[in-house]
Order: sequence, then C-alpha cells, then structure tokens
Amino acid sequence: MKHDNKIVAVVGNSGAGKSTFIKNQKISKKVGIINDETIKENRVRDQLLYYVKKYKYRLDILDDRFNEIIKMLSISEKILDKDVFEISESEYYKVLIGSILLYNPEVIVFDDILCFFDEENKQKLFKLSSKLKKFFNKTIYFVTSDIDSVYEYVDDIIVIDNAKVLLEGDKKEVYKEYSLLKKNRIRIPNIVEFIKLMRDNNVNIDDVDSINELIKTIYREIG
Amino acid sequence: MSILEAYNLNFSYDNNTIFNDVTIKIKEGSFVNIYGRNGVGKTTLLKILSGSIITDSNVKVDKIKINKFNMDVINSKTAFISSNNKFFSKTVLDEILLEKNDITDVDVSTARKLLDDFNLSSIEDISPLDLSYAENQIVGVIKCMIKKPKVLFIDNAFSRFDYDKKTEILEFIKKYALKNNITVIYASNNLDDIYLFDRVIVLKNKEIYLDTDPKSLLNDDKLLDVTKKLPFIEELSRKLIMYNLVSKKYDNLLELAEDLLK
Repeated sequence: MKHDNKIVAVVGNSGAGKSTFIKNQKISKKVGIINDETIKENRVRDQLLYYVKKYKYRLDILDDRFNEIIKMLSISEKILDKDVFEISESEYYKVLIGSILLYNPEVIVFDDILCFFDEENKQKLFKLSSKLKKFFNKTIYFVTSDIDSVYEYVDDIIVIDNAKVLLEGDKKEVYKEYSLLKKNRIRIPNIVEFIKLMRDNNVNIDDVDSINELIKTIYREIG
Repeated sequence: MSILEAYNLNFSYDNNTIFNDVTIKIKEGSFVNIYGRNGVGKTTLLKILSGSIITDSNVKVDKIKINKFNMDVINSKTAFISSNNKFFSKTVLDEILLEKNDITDVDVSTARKLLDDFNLSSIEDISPLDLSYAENQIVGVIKCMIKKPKVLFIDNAFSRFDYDKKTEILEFIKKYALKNNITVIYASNNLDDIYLFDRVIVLKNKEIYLDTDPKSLLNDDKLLDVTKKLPFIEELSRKLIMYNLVSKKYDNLLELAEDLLK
C-alpha cells in the first residue's frame, strides 16, 4: 500500500469488494485494522489492552497512553469493566479503535465502521486522523461506502469495483473521471456533482471540497 | 389507530436515566424514523417498544400491554432487524422461513420471490455464514417481511450500504409495508435517511425533543441543538439563501443549481 503519510478513502458501492481488498492485509505490528474482526476479548479493558500487549509496545508508559487514548476517544471510565456486548454500538467501535491506536501502528485502517458514528463523532474522528497524519506521520485509510462524509478530509482515493481497483490517485484527479465513474455506477460526492453542474453552465467556481469554501467561490463568481 | 403506545415511559440502566416520562403513540401503517446522537437511547427505545426489554411502564403493541407472560403474542406481532444479525440455519432459504410455523408452498415461493426482488436468487442455497454483510442484512429484511408482522423494527441496519442502495431498500420496504399494513420504526444516527419517512422522532436528553415530518424538521432551528451537520442540500440551500443567492430551499441539486444560475 503506497500512500505514505496520506489519508486515503477506499470507496466503492456495497458489495464491490472493498473489505475483501482489505482482508488481504492482516493486523500486524505495522498495520492496524479496525473492523468487525478486531474484537478479541469479552471485556472492554481487556480488548483495549489486547494489541498493545501482543505487540509489546512501550509497556513502560502503558498507563499514561491508556488514559490518553480513552480521553481522546471520549471512552467513559464507567464502561471499562463492562462486557463489550453490554455497551452501545458507538462505544463498541470506539473501544475497537482505542485498542488499535494504543499500540501505535504506522498505518491505520478504519474498515467500514464510520457509518456507526453520528456526524459529530465522525468529525472528531476526522480531526483526530488529521492530527495523526500531521504530527505522528501516520498513513490512514477509510474504507467506506459514504464518500460524502470523508471527501473533505482525504488526500487520495482508491475506487474499488468488482473487487478490483478501478481508479486510484489524488481525489480531485479521480473524480475528474466523471463518465467512467457514472458508467460503473460509482457514487460521486454531492459537492463534486454540484461543482460540475456550475461549470457545465459556464460558472467557473473553484474545485473546492467543503461547503464553506463552496459558498465563498460561488459568491465570488455570481454574487 | 395506534399500533404502538408508550405512556410515561421511565427507564434507567446502571443508575443512568435513559428515558424520563416519555409518551409515544404510533399510528398503524406509518413509516417512522427515530433519530438521535450516538448513545441517546434509540436501540433501547426500539427494544422497549418491541418487548425485547420489558419495563414497568405501560407499553402496548396492538393494544396489548407488554408483560413477561405474553411475549409469545408480542413476538408474533413484531419483527426486529439490527445492524449485526448472525444467522445459523443451513441455508439462506431455511433462515428466511425460520420463524414460520407450518411452512407452505406459498411461503417458499414468497421467499423466493423476495430474494428475486433483491436480485439475490443465487444465494438461496448457500450458508448464511458465507454471505457478505449487505447480503446478510437483506436476508434479515426478507426474513422479517415474510413474517408479515404488525410492526417492523429496523435498528440502523443499513448504515454500511451506500446511499443509493440504502434508498432503494428503504423504498422497497416502504412499498411492501404499505401493501401489507406493516408499521415501520427505523432508527438511525444521521439525517440523510429522513426524506422517505412520514414522521421523524428526535431523541435528546432523555426525552422526545422534536416530533414532526421531515420537511418541518429541517425548517426547525431547534434541530441545530441536536446536530450542526445537516444534509448537504439542506446546508447548501440555507447558506445560499443567507447570501441572497437563491430564493428558497430545494430538495434536489438540479433545481437548486437552476435557481442559482438565474
């Protein structure tokens, strides 16, 4: 996987084979994958500690890192001694994320779990990912069917169709292949669709990736 | 008539109050979205309304008050699909027919027709353990549909699907529900889904915070107390109106663009 120090979205429609693409990678010392197979223990605390103990990462400062991670992910101390089946869905996936972050892999893969978080929690996760990339040199993958949620926060895109890579590269470049994507019925982000609508009508707004930037560029051209 | 009712529902778990004096009445045949942030209690509410969790409060399904002695009757009137169902029958077809007593030929052909409607005829004989997530969830839906329950509870079962597929499935369920007088209660943690529903019940802070149709909900400023992130077209419409670039809200990109280009 050759996207060093980038945030990458792996997209494609449901059943297109995204998770199969990821399944060929296994959780290793270097690559931490968060998906339904990440769960190994019944109790929250045990799950959080599973991988850091397995890979023996900085056991000397484990307590500090543990407290830091649960604070960062807003994991309530009240659930630490509960069974993983007793907690809510969003808490569950936060625990899985925590268990992977705790052993500090170089590459982190969020494999189809974003959808279980509400918008505010998704934003927190994106901000966290940006920090991990910027300050800790991590490479991050979001495997998701929901390109609209991640588009603003990623650098590169890998489009999977029929278990194969259809397109790969910088996000702006990938979505320039509009016809190819439409032909394969791959979802185009709302913002890209809207920018295309404007440009097709000779309003040359900038190729932005957030609504706020979109408003600014529309206003400059039309307002 | 109200197919589901809860009066002065109080529920706590582990010394935390989840619901404080909540009253809900759901009309038969309606298509209802329960929306709220993570952890607000959507799953808990669905479990209480379906009898999965039995409380001291007055909760009725089809006019029958739920108690620990009438779960058989309650279960016959409800069906529930969650975000992670695990199926252990030998084949997909077996699983779909699992909750039917005295399976008839009609049942089998109905099951096959529903699989066909979802383009999944090819998976009829395979083990449910070999299904992809999407196939698994759809098998869960078909299993519920064939039961023809009075109330179908869907707990965030399609969040992994892409938007278009999710809409397709929900539209299919809605049509089927309408034809068979099934009431649908659907819980989700984002607003992208709300357009298809008659009614959106918004949970916040141990109570029902908002309860209205989708369009009115999106026009209600109180919604911003619950979430700052609205669906794309809603957010774009609002901001363009603020800058006097369009005159009103639209529910599709094309019309919004047309207004903007005028």
